[in-house]
Amino acid sequence: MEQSCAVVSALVGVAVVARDPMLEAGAASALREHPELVVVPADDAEAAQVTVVMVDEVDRAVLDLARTRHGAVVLVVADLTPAQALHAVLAGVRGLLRRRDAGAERLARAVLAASVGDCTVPPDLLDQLHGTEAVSSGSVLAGAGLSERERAVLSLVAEGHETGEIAKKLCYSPRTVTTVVHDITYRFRLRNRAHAVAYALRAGLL
Amino acid sequence: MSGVRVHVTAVGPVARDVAERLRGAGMVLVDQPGPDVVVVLAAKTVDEALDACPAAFRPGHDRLLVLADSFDPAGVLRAVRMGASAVLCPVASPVSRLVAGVHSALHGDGVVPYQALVRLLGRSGDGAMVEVEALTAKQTTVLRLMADGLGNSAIARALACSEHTVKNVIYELTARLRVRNRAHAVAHAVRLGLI
Repeated sequence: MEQSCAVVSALVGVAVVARDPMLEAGAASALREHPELVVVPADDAEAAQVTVVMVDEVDRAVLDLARTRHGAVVLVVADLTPAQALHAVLAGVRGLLRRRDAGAERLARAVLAASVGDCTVPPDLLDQLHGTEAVSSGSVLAGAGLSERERAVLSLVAEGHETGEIAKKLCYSPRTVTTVVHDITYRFRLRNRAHAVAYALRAGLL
Repeated sequence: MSGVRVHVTAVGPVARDVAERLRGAGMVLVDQPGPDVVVVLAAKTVDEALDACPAAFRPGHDRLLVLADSFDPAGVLRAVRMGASAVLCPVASPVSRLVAGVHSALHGDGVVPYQALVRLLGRSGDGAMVEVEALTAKQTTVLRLMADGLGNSAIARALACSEHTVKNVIYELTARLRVRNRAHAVAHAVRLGLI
């Protein structure tokens, strides 16, 4: 009894975004069948606690969407490398499914898991994520790595040095140091130095 | 939803009522692991849970759900390597989340708390965690939000406290970690697997 009450009071709003309208319609109708989910329009960002995004591959546009979208994002991808999965998780994606694995039930479970702070990742990728370096995916995600100069500056930021100290150590002007940091934060859509350092370490860029 | 067969091994007082809660949700408790049985291990830490794993469990074949209070990166990795379908979730979760976890494990979904997954990524190597003076829950939360790029005012809003409190917490944790500034604190914490 207790459970059925919880179910009624906790419907999870889910939206579906896909470039292919047939895919979108299929996923939405599958999710609509689930008693704990309510399908909402994709442009109603407030109502969508979880957004299912269906794409062919993880590219920059998908990562930007994951970073900026209100609520949790679950990605359904045609195929997935460990490096792409790493980028997706670091961009805040709360669920990754290969399209061929994403039946109605599993998709619904992944959406519900995302709504409570869990992250679904194909088990074969879970093991590989650890130790995967984002750099190796450079060909897939243009600009996914750091240049030598960027790495040098960001390493010093991670060691707790301020702009002036970094400039002195590397024989750059303070303005150059600021520009390098700005380039990194802009390219990866990061908010500040602490964010940049955490991202770079987790992605294996440093 | 009901009728799924589970084998529960629980360690410690918090974990003890797990079997009863799952039975209450319509699951069938069985004595031994086997095909179509989800092995549920519950304890304070992931390592304690895995240490209690029954001898009959076949890694890579049997379905595994680990319930723990805390998820250290090494433990998460060990759990992932023990079961193709390892699923981890907090032991004190509402019964609906436990039931969802059992179903995810049964179908081999692979589910890990997002924060535990991110901590796993930042770790350098498989070596033992460096021993550091433990941080308080509040310090860890503030560090995590800093690592997500939040400034003091955004952190204060997220934690429903004053900016003054946030500044104090950051002051304490920079002293405790012996670091020079925010970026240094975050880098240090990611490398140690603290966040």
